[in-house]
Amino acid sequence: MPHLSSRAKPPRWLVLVLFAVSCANTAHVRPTAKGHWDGDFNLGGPVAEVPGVAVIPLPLTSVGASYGIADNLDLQAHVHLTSLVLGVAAVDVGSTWMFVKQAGAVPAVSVGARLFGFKSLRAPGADADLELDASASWVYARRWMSYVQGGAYVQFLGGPVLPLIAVGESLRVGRTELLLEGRWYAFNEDSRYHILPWTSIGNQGALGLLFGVRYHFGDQS
Amino acid sequence: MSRLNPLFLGLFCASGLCGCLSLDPFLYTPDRVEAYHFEFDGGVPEERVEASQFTLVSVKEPNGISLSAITVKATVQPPTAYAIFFHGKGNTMEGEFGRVKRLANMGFDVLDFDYRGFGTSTDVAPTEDGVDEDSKTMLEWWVAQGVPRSQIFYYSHSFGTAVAAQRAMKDPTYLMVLESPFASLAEFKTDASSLDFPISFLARDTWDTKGRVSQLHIPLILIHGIEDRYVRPLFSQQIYDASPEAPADKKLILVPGADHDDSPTRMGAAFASVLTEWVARYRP
Repeated sequence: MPHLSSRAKPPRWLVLVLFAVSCANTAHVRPTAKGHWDGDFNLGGPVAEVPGVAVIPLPLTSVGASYGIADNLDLQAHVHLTSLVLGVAAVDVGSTWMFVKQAGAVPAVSVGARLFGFKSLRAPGADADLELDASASWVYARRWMSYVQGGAYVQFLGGPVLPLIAVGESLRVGRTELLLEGRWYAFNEDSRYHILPWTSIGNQGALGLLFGVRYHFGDQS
Repeated sequence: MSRLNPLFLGLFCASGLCGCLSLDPFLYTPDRVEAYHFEFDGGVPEERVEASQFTLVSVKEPNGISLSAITVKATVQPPTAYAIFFHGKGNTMEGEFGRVKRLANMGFDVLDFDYRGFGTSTDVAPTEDGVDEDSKTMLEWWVAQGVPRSQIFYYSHSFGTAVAAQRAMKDPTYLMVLESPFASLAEFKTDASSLDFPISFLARDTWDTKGRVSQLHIPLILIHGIEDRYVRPLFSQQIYDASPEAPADKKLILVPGADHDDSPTRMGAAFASVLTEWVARYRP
């Protein structure tokens, strides 16, 4: 059926649905060094008009850790905190493999996969999704890194595959790395007809903004 | 201040704590009033009735909950049929009195009531099960007043469409009219997010009108404003498709220029003619 309505006005409570299963992870474009640990905290998400509040990135949060299991390969896990407010436990486990090292202007290239699991703590129902991504990253001036990432979010309960692209910048200060990342979620979806008032480009998908802090344990220079 | 602002503040503060916040309380926004002030003259002939046609009553459920209700006699007696009107969640009976008057002027005796928590009905939180008890109580009360059960059909608007479909599952009728319906809470969620997680993550109530209609063999009229910016007309199409009725026994009316609340007005004379024709066709 063709779309019949112009941009929908949001029932206010629906903004909350995104708190249940959305994730805040910033891109993990370079694996943690072999034998070392990283810890990270992430905040942000799709930008939407929260009626009566403001146009803001949804304040999704996650904390996680990663461990380098081999040269250029790590394992990661995260717990998603905001969904707990709605009584939904959410975790992800995944891995990043960097198969091309940076050489001058040639970026490092990596691929990653993360499996997300969601389980309601107060009602029946569980969900699982898989995120696949590929990234290119450039370290420059020793402490700065620029990256781009393309990915796809595969839903196992019948929802559409949602693509995303991300661009980000990180600054390393000592063992701490600060990340700021912009995302374009589901750019294949015509969000004009979504009930939520996304901030988007050409009414396609939703733009997102995320902030991350990563701490590198040990000497990973 | 928005009703949800404190909630969002709470979300910021509570991130990281294991909570059990459910959306259920936020599905309903019951309007409370101290007393009703019904306008008998709506400014147009279709929305004008005499005070003598009108009765305000209070009906008690066995559990002690009291429901406020009105009956409006058909302008021309005897009535050609009887309609129970199920109103939306953003209103009390007062706010949707215009539709009730229109139905009375088409020749129907009409019953309208405020669900628990709404208007001057007992101030307890509505739930899907609770509202089910309310509509059952009101149907039984009206029949106890001498209204022939077989002559009653259901007219509903917005949230009320979910209540009407719920009632029809247990108390079928010969005609159900759903104006500006939503398919289900799950459909609402998916439409908002493109995410496929179970609605049980968020709410106990489901209000699955599409699922209920798919099990109902009841002639069906769906009316939806094409410019509805609150509940998309797509939902009416989904319900229409789900109905097992033959195409001749179900009708989808998409009203150009109409939004969530003004389809009857926008339809003009066609609104009355469609309803009276379909009631005459299916009334036993």
